[in-house]
This record gives sequence, structure tokens and C-alpha cells, in this order.
Amino acid sequence: MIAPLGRSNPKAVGRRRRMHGAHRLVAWTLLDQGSRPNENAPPVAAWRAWIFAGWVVIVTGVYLATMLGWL
Amino acid sequence: MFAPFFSLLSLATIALASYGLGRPIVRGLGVGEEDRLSTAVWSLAAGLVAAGMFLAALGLVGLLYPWLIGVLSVAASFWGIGQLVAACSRQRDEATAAGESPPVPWPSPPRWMTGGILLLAALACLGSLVSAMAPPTAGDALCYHLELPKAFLADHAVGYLPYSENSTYPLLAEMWYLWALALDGGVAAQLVHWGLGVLLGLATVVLATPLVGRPWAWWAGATVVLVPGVNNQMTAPLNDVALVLFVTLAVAAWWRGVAGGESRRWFVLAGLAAGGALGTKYLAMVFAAAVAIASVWIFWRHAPRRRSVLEAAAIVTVVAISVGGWWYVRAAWHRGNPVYPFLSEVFPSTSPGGTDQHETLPASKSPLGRNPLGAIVAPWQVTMHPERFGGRGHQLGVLLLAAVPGVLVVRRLRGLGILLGVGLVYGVLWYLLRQNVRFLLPVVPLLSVAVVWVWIEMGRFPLVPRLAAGTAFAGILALYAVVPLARCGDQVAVALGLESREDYLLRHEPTWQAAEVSNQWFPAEAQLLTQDYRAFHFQCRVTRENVYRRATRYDRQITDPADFSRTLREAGFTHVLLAENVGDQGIRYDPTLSRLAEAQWSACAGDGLVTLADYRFPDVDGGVRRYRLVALR
Repeated sequence: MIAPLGRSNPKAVGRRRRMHGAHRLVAWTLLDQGSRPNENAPPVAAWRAWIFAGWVVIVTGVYLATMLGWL
Repeated sequence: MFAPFFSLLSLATIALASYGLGRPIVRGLGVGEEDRLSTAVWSLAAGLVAAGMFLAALGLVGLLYPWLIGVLSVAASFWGIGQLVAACSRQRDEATAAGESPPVPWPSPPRWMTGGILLLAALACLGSLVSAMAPPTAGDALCYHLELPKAFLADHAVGYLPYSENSTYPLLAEMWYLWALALDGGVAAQLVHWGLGVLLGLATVVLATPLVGRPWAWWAGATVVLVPGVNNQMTAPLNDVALVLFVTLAVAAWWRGVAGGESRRWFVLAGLAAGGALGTKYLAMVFAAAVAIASVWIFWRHAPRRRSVLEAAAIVTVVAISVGGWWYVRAAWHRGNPVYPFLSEVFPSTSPGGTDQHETLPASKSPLGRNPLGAIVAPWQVTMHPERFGGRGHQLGVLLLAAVPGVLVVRRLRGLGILLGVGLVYGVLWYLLRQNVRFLLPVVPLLSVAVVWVWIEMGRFPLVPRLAAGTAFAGILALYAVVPLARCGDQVAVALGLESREDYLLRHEPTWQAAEVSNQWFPAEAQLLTQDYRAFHFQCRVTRENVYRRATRYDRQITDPADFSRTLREAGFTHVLLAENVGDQGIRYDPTLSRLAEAQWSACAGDGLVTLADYRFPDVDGGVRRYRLVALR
């Protein structure tokens, strides 16, 4: 014999849904998401990275010096 | 003390009413509803356009009464609350996840870094909010962005003001300011533009999401509000941020249809946003030309997209002209020129003697000239020397110049090339037309998406260059968050209600003392002719002397110095405001009106001219302004 299923209480269902939402919120806040899969792209060539980083640092430095009136 | 509260309440009323007006439009189109953020952004934007058009229509039929606008606003805001509650209930019942974005093959940013950049953006917005809660003192705002709505409210109609060059401009943003003036005053209008800046940040998130995913899209939105020119514009009721908002949304919707291959209903939304841009500022036509050129490129190079490109062109054009075109019809009706005062070389003047001829492309507005070398160095010059192109307050900052070239060393991102192409064409047009740095603001959201893509790709850099570049970027962003906070120090007291707005204006607004005298003592039918363009704080009707002189050549009719006051009284003026700079630096006024008044004083020993106020105001740039408010007898 299959035990009859009890009737679900709508209020209890609503409470469980809200509790699950709260659980998801806490987990999302406190736990790392973890890295996504499929990121197999090769690293950027070092010389490209250095050229770009050099550009960023130089431009930023010139800008700050210009805004402060040193240039 | 409660004045700031009522100004914020007015902003909230306008926002809720706009949401309520726009939500049914977005629901009816069936696009832009993929998540709560997109729904809110598109609903607010559509609602603002609809509300602006409705107010303009009320103005055309002479029904611009503050009490009517107030009643309709309250009703619409309650409708908006209902729409919000219904939207929240619908999503709770459907148990949909918030902000699901399409999966992307690169890691999401660390949560703490996202929180950090959003915190910096929030701090910048807080600084600009405090500044925006002080009474308006920006010159252009007092000249026409607030002055025209004030005049329209006084007349209860959006009429033609022959001695106001700006009265036939596209005035959609001014309709929102009129709305705010009717509910509260100049501070509420200023807060509207601040709110548009926040909405611009969110619109950039909507633009960037299909390309980089929602987590990284928040970085693009934060970057936009951290740009100094954008954040500074949020402190004053101008129209540049409003323009950038609508061109961003137009591109976002257009991109979804053309590059994303989605429903053609996106083109209707793009047309609505484009119409909003056209109704805000003439510059939207230059941006439209840039998008059109990009469309031609896509049509030529991508055969599968040709049909969608053609459909986009047709639908966007029809909807945009239907929404924003009538401002140009109005200008053509009154001035004979749909883009008055520009292209006066093409469209004949309607005033006698061609007195309102303006050069469309003056050399003085192109500091870099118009040659290939100037175009190449333009990005560097605009970044390092913004004072040559309209002032440091409107600068784009160094972030874009530093980061965007990174696209040359990283992988290509599908869809980003279109945005960069539009930005590049627009930059070239900017260079050829008018080289003002704030006219470059429309490309900021587009380039911000490129900046974020470079940041994503920096995750594949070796450690040391990644740290070096990352540290520089973090420093720039932190600096741009601190500057608005430092700038608003003088406005904190009045923003919190601890200082009265009148006391604040007495310290910061040169024309305030004259305005107070006029507001207390002028009769209801007074008409003021002024040498200073800052007219908003005067409750009487104000006419700018230089515009009136160009239109009527009244000065040439005065052959006897004693006829000065009689001539102006016969023209309907009751008072004049004389303004001059008695210092060595700062603003220079055309001396015609002062010279004529001095001549009558010398000839008639004061007959016909009675000085009501005479005071001096020191400017922050070292100049000293002298104002004399004079009654004509």
C-alpha cells in the first residue's frame, strides 16, 4: 500500500520558500562563487602586457603631474 | 530646514510618475524586461520621454499651471507605486532569479572588487548629490535651462520668446525642469539631472550586459559615473547627461537588434530613446550620423545582417522623428531654421537685416584646428589640457586614454567593435565640428565597455604588469571618488538644511542681491533688460541685452544720451541691470548698456535713471563684478 500524501499547508510552503531564499542569500554573500569552467584562453604575451602596463603608468603619471601644475 | 526634504520628495514623485508612465510602454513592446534592472531602466527612460512630450503638449495648448502639474504628478506617482508593487508581486510569484545574465566564458570579478568599485561610484554620487542639493548657480542653468521653464510656467505656455535665442532649441530636458519647478523649485530641477546621471550608470550596465555579462557590466556603470565630466554635470541642471543617457539607451537597443539578432521590437525602443536624444540636444544628430556610418559599414561587411540594418534604419528613424522631431518643426516655424542658430549659412534669417547670423563652425571653437596631425594628438590633448576645450570641470579624465588602447593587446570581443566604431566616427565628427570636451561625453559609456573588457583580459596578464596597471587604475578610480566629496564641502550645510538657501545664494550667486531687490520691489508688470545672462532668480520677465541689441539695433536709435531711458521705456522695459568687471581678471561684459546709461547720467545728472541697488561681488577667479539695478523713469 502506498501511504497517502498529506495535504500541504500553503502557509508552510510559503515559509519554506522564503527560508530557501534566505539560505541562498546567505550562501551567496559568504561563500565564493567558484571559478567558471571553460576558461582555457592562453595568457597574454609578456611583452604586450608590459607595454600596456607601461603605457598606463606613464599616462597616469603625466596626467597627475599636469593636473597638479608640475608640467 | 525642511526644504531639502521637499526637493528630494519632488524627485521621488517625478521618478515614480515616470516609471508609472513608462512601464506600460515597455510591457506593450515586450522587450527590455529580462530582469528587474532592465525593466526599471527602460520604464524610467520611456516614461521620462512620454512625460516630457505630455508637458510640451500641455504647453502648446496653454495649460501649464503648477496646480494641474502637481495633481497629475501625484496621481501618476501613485500609479507608478502600483506598477512597482505589481511588478514585485509578479516576480515573487514567478520566483524568478534577479539579474540572470547570459553565460560568459570568463571568470566573474571577485565580489570584494565589485563591491569596492560600486562603493567608489556611490561615494562619487553622494558627493554630487550634496552639491546638487544646493541652490543652482551654474551659468548656463541660470541663463536658459531653468530660465526658460520659469518663463513658460509664468506664461502657462511653451511660447516663442523672440529675444531668447535658446527658446527654440530642443527642450525635452527643460520640460522635466519645468515639472520640477512646478513641484518645488530650482533644487528639485537640479536633482532631476543628478538622477539622470544615476540612471545613466544603470543604462550603461544594460548596454554592457550582453557583451561582458552582468557582473562585469556593473563595473562599466560605475566607471561612467566616476568620469569627472559626468559626475560634475550631475551637480547642475544642464542637458549633457540627459543626452548621454538617451544615446546610450538608443545604442543598447539598436545593438540588441542589429548585432544581437533579437526581435525588431528593440528598434522601436531604440527609436524612442533616439527621439529623446533628439529632443534634448542638437548634438544627437551628430551621434545619429555616427551610428548611420557604422550601419553602412555593417551593411557592407556583414551580409547576414543587412536586413536587420535596413529595418533598424527605417524603424528608428520614423520613431525618433515622431518623438523628437517636433522641436525642430517648432524652430523652423518661428525662426525659419530647424536647427537655429546653427546652419544659418544654409537657412535664411527671419529677422530684418540678418541680425541673427551665427557662424556654424567658427575657428575659435576648434583649438586643434582641422588637420590630420591635430586629429592624432586630440585624445592626448583633450585628456591632459581640458581647459583648452571648455574647462577642467567637464573633463573625461585619464581612465579612458589609459585603458582603451588596451584593446590592441587583448582578444577581440564580439560586438565591441561596433561600439568602438560608433565612438571613433563620433570622435572624428567631434573633431571636425566643435571641439568642446563635454561634447565627447556621449562616447563615454561606449568606451567604458571597452575599458571593462581590457580589465577582464588583464586577468591573463603576468602578475607584475597586472599589478602595476591594476594599481594605477585603482588609484585613478579612488581619486575620482574623492574629488566630488571634497568639492561638496561648501554645500553640506545648505544640503542638510542647516543654512538657508538665501544665505547660500548671497555668498555664491552674483546676481542674487539684485534679484532679491527686484523680487521685493518690482511691480508685477516689470521687464528687466540685463547685461548679465544669469536670469533665473529674477521673478520678473528678463531680456538679455546682447540678444535684444542684435535683434533691434536699439543702440543706434539713441542719438541723444538723454533718450536712453525713454527709448527703452517705449520698448516696454521698466528696469535695467548694469554689470561690469572692475577687476583685472575674469568675465568681460559687452559695455554697450553701461556706456549708454553712463552717458545719460552725465548728460542729465540722473534724470530718468534711479539706482535701486549698487554692489560688488568678488569672483573666485579674482574678478570683481559690479552690479547696478536701475529703474527707468
